[in-house]
Amino acid sequence: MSIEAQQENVHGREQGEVQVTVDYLPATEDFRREYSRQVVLETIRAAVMSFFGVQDRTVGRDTYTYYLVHDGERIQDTQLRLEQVIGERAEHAHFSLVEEITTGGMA
Amino acid sequence: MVLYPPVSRWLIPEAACELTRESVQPAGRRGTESGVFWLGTRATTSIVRVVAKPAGIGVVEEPWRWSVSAELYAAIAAYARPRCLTLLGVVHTHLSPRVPRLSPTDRTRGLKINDALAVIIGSAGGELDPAHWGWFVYGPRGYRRLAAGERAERITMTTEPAEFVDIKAGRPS
Repeated sequence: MSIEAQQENVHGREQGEVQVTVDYLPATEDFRREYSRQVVLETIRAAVMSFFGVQDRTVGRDTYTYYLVHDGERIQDTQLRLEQVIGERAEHAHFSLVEEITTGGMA
Repeated sequence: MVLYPPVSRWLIPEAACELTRESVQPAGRRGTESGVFWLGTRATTSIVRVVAKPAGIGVVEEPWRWSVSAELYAAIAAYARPRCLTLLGVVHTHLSPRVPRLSPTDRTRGLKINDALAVIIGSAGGELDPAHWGWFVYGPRGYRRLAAGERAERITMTTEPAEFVDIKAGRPS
């Protein structure tokens, strides 16, 4: 890589690229991709759900939603920008993709 | 990259079954359902290694319902990932002493990954013999019961050790 290219690469990271990783407990691999820190979290959530082959669903009157969890807290507002969750300087962000597990009922 | 390697067989330590039973029986004595997650290594032959009991805030144990919050689920992931463990199955109790079967809630709200195990212990966790538990596996048409023959073919009880861990929600330390 040329010096110019390296400088451009470093500059690109300074401009706001963030290495995002997401785990999903049943899967054997993590999701890994770079995003601008300005991206809204819904963009990441959609890509992550596609990667792991899961989707929100409605069964009868019940709706099941997948959430991103960061630092132990569920992200309810997926219109937040990545930067608003991880801060202005972090270059890495790790999330978990989760769905509430509910079992039971008369059987 | 295969995110969910197909599973032909599961190796399940008898110790994992015992730890599971011990952990769910207190709730059963209170008249509520309870459950644990079986974590292990997923491969053609998958091995259960850890019984993870969600505990504290985020767990609901009621007479006809057991639920685990998203935050607690993430805490289990935070425990599992550094140890290269994945979720192989969810085990929970039913209060009824009848032959365990999946309720509509179990079918719609359970884990939706091929070859995920759903195991039900009847009699509020009092059923001692795993052969009398309900064994179900998720596939293209949803969960289906593993009949005795298929269960004997695909599930092997071992004398290997198993770990037990209580997991509470919160920021990973």
